[in-house]
Amino acid sequence: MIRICGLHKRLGDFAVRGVSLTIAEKEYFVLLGPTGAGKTVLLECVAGLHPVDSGEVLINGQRATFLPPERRNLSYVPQDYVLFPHLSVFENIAFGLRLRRWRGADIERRVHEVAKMLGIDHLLARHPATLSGGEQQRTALARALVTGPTALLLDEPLSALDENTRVQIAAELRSLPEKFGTTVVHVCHSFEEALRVADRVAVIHQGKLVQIGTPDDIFMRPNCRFIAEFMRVKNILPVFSLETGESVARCSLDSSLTLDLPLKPLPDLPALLTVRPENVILEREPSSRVNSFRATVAEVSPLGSSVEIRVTTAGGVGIAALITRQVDKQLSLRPGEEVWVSLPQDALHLLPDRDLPEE
Amino acid sequence: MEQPVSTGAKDGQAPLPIGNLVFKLVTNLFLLLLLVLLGGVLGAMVFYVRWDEFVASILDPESLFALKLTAICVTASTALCLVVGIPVAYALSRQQVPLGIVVDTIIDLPLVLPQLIAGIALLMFFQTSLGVWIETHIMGFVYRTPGIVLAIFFPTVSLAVRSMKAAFDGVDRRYEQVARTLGCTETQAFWKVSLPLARTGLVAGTVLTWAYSLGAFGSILMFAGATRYKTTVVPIAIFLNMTTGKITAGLSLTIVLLALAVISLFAFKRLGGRATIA
Amino acid sequence: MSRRKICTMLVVFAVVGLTLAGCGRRQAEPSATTAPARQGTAAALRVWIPCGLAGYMEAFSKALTGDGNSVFDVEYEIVNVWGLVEQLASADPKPDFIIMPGDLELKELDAKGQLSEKPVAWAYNQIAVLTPKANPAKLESFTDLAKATKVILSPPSTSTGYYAEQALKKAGLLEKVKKHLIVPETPAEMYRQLADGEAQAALAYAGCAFPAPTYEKGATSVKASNLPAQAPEDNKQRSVIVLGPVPEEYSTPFPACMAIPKDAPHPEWARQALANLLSDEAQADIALWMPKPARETELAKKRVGLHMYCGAGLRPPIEKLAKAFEEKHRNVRLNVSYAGSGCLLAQLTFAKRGDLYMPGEAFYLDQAKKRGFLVEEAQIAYFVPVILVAKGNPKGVKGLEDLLRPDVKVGIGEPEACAVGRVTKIILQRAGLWEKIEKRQQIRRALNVPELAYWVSLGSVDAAVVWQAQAKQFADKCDAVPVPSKYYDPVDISIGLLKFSKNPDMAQRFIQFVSSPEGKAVFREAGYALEPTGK
Repeated sequence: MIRICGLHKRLGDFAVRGVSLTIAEKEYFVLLGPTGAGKTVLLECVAGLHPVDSGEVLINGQRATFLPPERRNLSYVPQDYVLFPHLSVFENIAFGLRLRRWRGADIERRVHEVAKMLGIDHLLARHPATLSGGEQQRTALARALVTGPTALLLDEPLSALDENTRVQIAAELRSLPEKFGTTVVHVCHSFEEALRVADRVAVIHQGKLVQIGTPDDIFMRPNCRFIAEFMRVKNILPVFSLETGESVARCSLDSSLTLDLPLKPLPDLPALLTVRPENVILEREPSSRVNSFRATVAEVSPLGSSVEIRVTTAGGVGIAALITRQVDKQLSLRPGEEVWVSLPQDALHLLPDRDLPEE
Repeated sequence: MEQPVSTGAKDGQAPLPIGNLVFKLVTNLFLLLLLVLLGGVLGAMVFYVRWDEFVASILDPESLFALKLTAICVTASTALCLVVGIPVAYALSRQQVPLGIVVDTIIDLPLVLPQLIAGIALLMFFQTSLGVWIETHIMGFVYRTPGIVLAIFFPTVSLAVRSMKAAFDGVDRRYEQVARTLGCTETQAFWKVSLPLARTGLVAGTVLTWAYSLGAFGSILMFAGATRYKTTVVPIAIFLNMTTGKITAGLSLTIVLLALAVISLFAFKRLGGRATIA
Repeated sequence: MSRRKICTMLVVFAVVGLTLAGCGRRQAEPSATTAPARQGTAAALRVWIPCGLAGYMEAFSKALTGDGNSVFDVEYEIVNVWGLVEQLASADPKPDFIIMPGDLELKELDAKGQLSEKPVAWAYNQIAVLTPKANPAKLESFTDLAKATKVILSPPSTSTGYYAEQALKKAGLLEKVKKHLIVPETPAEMYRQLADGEAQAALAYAGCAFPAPTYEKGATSVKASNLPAQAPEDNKQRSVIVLGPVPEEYSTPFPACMAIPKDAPHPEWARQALANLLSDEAQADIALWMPKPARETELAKKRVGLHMYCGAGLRPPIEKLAKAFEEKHRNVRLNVSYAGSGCLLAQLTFAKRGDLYMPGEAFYLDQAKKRGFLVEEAQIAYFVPVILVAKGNPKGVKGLEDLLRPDVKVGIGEPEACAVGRVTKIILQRAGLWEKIEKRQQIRRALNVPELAYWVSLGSVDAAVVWQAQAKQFADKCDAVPVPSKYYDPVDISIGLLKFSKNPDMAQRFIQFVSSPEGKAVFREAGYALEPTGK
């Protein structure tokens, strides 16, 4: 378990400003944020590579704020792995074990065991410079995991890989907590990558923690405009009025468009309604679905695997929908044509109209 | 698509192909000129000496002594430069030294100081109470053989620090950081990671320092004196030979010095050294 | 000579009862030790000295007279050790004092009752291995003598011969060596045989490596004053080297004795001289050039290091003299540091140490004097200007007038920068040529003498006025054309004793050595004038 309490750290242009969070044992935890958010600084503070300005770091309940990195038992894997070029793959992996004065035979056994688990046991005699990106990544992981660290700290582990390898490695990363019984803290800037691997995600922006939760929480239920935009919700609609009915809550976007929502505590106005474009349903004919209304197609943009269609309601509210190519073929919508739009209740999310959560 | 203007470069947009050619020609011409000049000057010196004269003057006991003494002193000074230079270079490379620019400048000063003055400065230092204490309690330097090592060391150590700092700068800090998280103390990280990774650069720096030390003259003349069979390293021997008309002996030693410099500079370049004297 | 007589009279008065005599003599003759032998003086102690010790006459004079504080002067007679008994028997008058390199000869005389007292050791001597400079048998140690095919030994009747034989016996080499033994007739013969390479080694004492005064074959003794100048000619001086003493396991040092013969004309003086030779000062001095003094004194244990700042141009003579000096004073290391005179002045100003300063130009010595660094100075020699031309004088330069010839490229020293330039200007002015020369286009100005010499030797100028000393150094590439002496003033070279010196006595001794006829001869050899040349 790693606990960070009110951590502050300035480092050149980067800063962490009062971040507090708790990472559970064997959890796959992702620190997500745009470039320059300070997530790497945070990770390196946890690793002990920088002294913190203020705040505390606790590892397994022990105060580790001022421990040097070598006494934290956390393994750090930087973005480009930094394998030691003067050592073979075997010696890279064995590095931590040699420092711990393991016996030669034990080192041999342990290195082979870990290498096998990561599928690099055939590379042990080679030198890092001769490895592919994926192989380097696996070697770096093996080197970090071999000592059985409390947590594995990964800085952008996938960004240097090509697309195919990335998917494969992501799956392997996901299995690390289970395979090796270790906590993983993973820094990345791509929410897709985060959603793919994370048990929980913390979004960092301008050195502050913006939202923390399961991938679903972050993805479907952003708590501010920044998260919604960062998650590419696309439909972030200002709410005109809100009222609580008997079984549903009613939310008007303008005088002509009112939507029903599940009955939940509602935020104060001003508020925003979000609906992810892939949850918007488009049909040629009216249907019995709730929250269904008529609109005009404004723009059709093919995006490869899907098609984005922008529609405008009678009251002038613009909504984006993401439909599959299959659906697009069936509907074959053209700009100017009329279309029926439905917004499923469980896809609707209300949040206060603010850029970032209050301090 | 714009057509290149072919009637002159008044508008200055597209440089004329002929202009490019002239520019290239001029730069290469100067390169050639410099090469011819250097080659001619050095060559004239080398060919002034006949082979048998060369062999005879090099086998002269005094020349042999000078060569031996030079090898010992230059190597000792270089070793001293390493002992001092590596920690200093590492510290400068890895830390934000307070008043870094001042520290850097102070370390560079001996490089720009005329060597004669460096020698005088050393003489003056050994007149201070600290200097006198060192002379009486540790070792005598002024006008003595150990003084040569110091006289070489003093103007050279800056170069050593500089080239070795470049070597350490070339090693990404994150190697050490990773090593630290894997369980290294700072010292272990230095020995197990930084030093082996900087090795090539350090070796190149050492070779450069050694080569540069070969030419040390002014500081030795001033601080260690030009005493026959005592402080006559090669440059001093050349000086003594030249002032007493033994041209051949002087030139022969110069040729040996040149050859050593060529070999070591070549090695330095092959090792990919990057230090600049600035 | 009249001054000498007055001096002698003063001395006689002093003998009568005044202890002031020493001071009086010192006033009259401040540099007594530089004149080793004085002839015809009534008040001289007549000393017999073997040729192997003759090289130390000067040191003996100083020791015997108690550094010039005694009433008597010393007069030497060089004797052949190998026939001492006969010589003494026939000598008339008898000598006052006999100094020997060993003990057996004097013991023999004592046994024959020819001595007034038992002989006394003044030092300990040791058998050493001497070889020609080239060391043809490539000997490295005493035991290597087994390899040598021509070895010189003194006759077994002499101390040296006896102890050398003992050493060989002890080392089991005697039979081998005896097979090809050379026994020369006189010690001088031994020296010559070594110097000429006729023998491969000799067992003698270290003093025999010095060029002893040569004397006529058959003659039993020679008056020191009749000796040729003791200048070590270059080849001779280096011809014999001391390989090292015989290791003590084969031969321990033996006493070198002195004695006063019966019927010595001045027995009181002789007793005084004997006491003087055993004084602390004299013993310390003896320790410098003998293997062991008779008495170990604190003074003698001291090893002395001297540092001399020397103008680089003076290197050839000074190098020779420093080496000779070190050979005479074996506990002295004379480190000579050569550089430009100005550079040296800076060095000694900042380092505030060192013992001697001998710049190439009097100007710098004056500077040092002005700064209060000098305790004493001595004038040694003079520069001689010459016109330096390429070997064979291809342009046919015969005199100063030829410097005006359009086909002769001339180099001159910058008058403001160096002494040779200043002198060149004076010469040309007196010859009425300066203005014409200055107007010439083809003239190159140098900042120092070596530069001019290089130009001539490399052919970039045809003629330049330089010092004769440089001309000698460049003799293989250049020739010198003399400059008439009426055109210049003498340019002198001096040596100074620095006030920083920690061993002023020894430093002074070097100055005396350089100023001695022997030292000056080396300068003359190197192309300097000893008497002021020029106007």
